[in-house]
Amino acid sequence: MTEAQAIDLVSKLISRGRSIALKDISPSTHLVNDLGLDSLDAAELLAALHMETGKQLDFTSMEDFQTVGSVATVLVRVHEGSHA
Amino acid sequence: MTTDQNVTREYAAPGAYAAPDEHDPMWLLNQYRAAEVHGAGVILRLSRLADNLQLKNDLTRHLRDEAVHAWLWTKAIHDIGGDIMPVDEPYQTRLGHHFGIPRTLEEILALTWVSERRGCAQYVEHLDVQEIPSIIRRTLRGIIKDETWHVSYIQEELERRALADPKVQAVMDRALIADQRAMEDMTAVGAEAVRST
Repeated sequence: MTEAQAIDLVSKLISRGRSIALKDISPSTHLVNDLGLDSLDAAELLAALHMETGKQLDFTSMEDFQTVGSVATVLVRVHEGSHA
Repeated sequence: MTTDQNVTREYAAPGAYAAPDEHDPMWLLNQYRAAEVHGAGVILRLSRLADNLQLKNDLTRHLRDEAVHAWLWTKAIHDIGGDIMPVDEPYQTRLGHHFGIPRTLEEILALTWVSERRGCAQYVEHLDVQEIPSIIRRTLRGIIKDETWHVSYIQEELERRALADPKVQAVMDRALIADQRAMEDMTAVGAEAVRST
């Protein structure tokens, strides 16, 4: 999975879960500060990512949810780890 | 005291919890209402994640129940002359603290399962209190029937998944342990509140 693919996937899932237009989501969009992501939204995003990719992101607190780009980076890293 | 090691697979009935403010009926009814509103948020998200039609169907019915229950508690509070007030959700907060952020559909289902069990047990316990207004008793009776179904369909779904993937049983056990620890925390807080009065 490339960084661009990961960004697309995270953006798509956030758009779907939060009913936010894709055009309003960018890699620098902050999940909490810009989108108001709460713990339920966070759980839904992680579960949706697991369903789409079969991977679990090792996020343990809301502080792990920074920007769309940072979540995508972790997703790529998890993918690379599983293929190493 | 229950420990991690002796949480059984038989899912013993949740023990009673004495909240520090349990003598304030309005606090308790607001707790009930807040729990149902919170539950609706969880079930809404679960219904978007559900990966089979039966589960989608059950969760959609469950979502209706949570909204109706929140309305019933709002109406009950109004009918006995109370008001809606913001309340903390100590059990949910502690449950989340001990389990961590759920990362899969099964983990969210397992947390919902233990939370529903706990809520159902609390409603049943309340129904045993002799002097409660008839509006509250009626509301409790109606809701308990739904809650019993919530616990059973989620447990059946998890057990079905556990047959296909043994890791799901471990997730259920983790949720039970988080539930036990949350209750131990709250019992300790309650005991401390009593000691300090």
